[in-house]
Amino acid sequence: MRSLKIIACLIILAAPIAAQADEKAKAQSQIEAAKAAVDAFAKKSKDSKLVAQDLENARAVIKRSEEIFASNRSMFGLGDISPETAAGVKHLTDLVDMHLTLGQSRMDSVKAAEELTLLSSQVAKVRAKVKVFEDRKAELEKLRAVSNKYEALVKETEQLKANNAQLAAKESKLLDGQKALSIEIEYLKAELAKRPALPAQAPEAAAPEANAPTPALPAAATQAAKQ
Amino acid sequence: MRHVMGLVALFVLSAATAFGGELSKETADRIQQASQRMEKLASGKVMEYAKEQMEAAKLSLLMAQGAALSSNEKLAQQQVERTELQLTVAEAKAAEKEVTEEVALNRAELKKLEAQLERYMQPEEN
Repeated sequence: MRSLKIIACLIILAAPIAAQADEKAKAQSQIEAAKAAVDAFAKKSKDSKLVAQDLENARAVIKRSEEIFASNRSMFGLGDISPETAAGVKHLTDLVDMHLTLGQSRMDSVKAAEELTLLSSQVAKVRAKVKVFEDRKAELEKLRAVSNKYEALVKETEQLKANNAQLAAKESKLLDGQKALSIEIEYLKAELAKRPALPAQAPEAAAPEANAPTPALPAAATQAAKQ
Repeated sequence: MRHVMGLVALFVLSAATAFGGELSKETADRIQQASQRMEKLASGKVMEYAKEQMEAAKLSLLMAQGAALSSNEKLAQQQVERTELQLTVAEAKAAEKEVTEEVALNRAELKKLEAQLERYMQPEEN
């Protein structure tokens, strides 16, 4: 029973120490985690100049956190750390995270900017190619319009030619008819001239009989008149 | 947000009772500068592209201002330092997001143009 009481007392006495030791271990592990994160980021970034300042800042903050941690330990480093120190360490390791986030963001921005440059160049090239096709398409449309117009004109010309041929044929016929009539008129004039002048008192005798045969016309004149 | 503000107020009051003394001019100036920077960034694209970071920075600034009111120099310094870095992160994130968005737009544009080109390259049906 006595030994149980002693153990219970020891546990009660050790509990706050354990709790504070936990806080100390937590702070220590936060610093270690921050260090590991910085090293991992440095390795990942291959010590790029772009994030050199961020890495330097992060390392400086880790140093500050280590200093705070070391300066606030009692009993030659074996004792606990105050809650204020723990909060300070937490604050500083948070800052380390932020410096790394900043570095990562810078790297991502540069990567995205490079991709953007590449994409912009590709877009410009493809756009130029598309423009060539669009220009050709527009030109083709114009040519099609001209061609359609031309075809319409050709049809119209052909129609006019056909009309012209018809009119020429009609004209030719009319001319032939006119020629035949002229010949007939000339012949009739000649016939009339051959006949002696009839007296005015005997019109019946002067008029030719209905049954009397018509003097023969030249064959060409007769044919033309028929036509 | 109201809960957070309440917590901040409570924190500041407790800090005020725990600490005391004068706030240095340097810290007060830093808080003012951070506040001005915050206002400037909040009115621009940074607020649009990095809202989360800006909200976090706003909270830190509030805590810094509260600590300044209670003359808690150490806490004010910590919070203003945090605010400054959070604002820088917000700016960087906003710039990154802006470029990323432009990349996405260009990628879509390229895809569209390539499809258009593909159509032109195909032989006409009639």
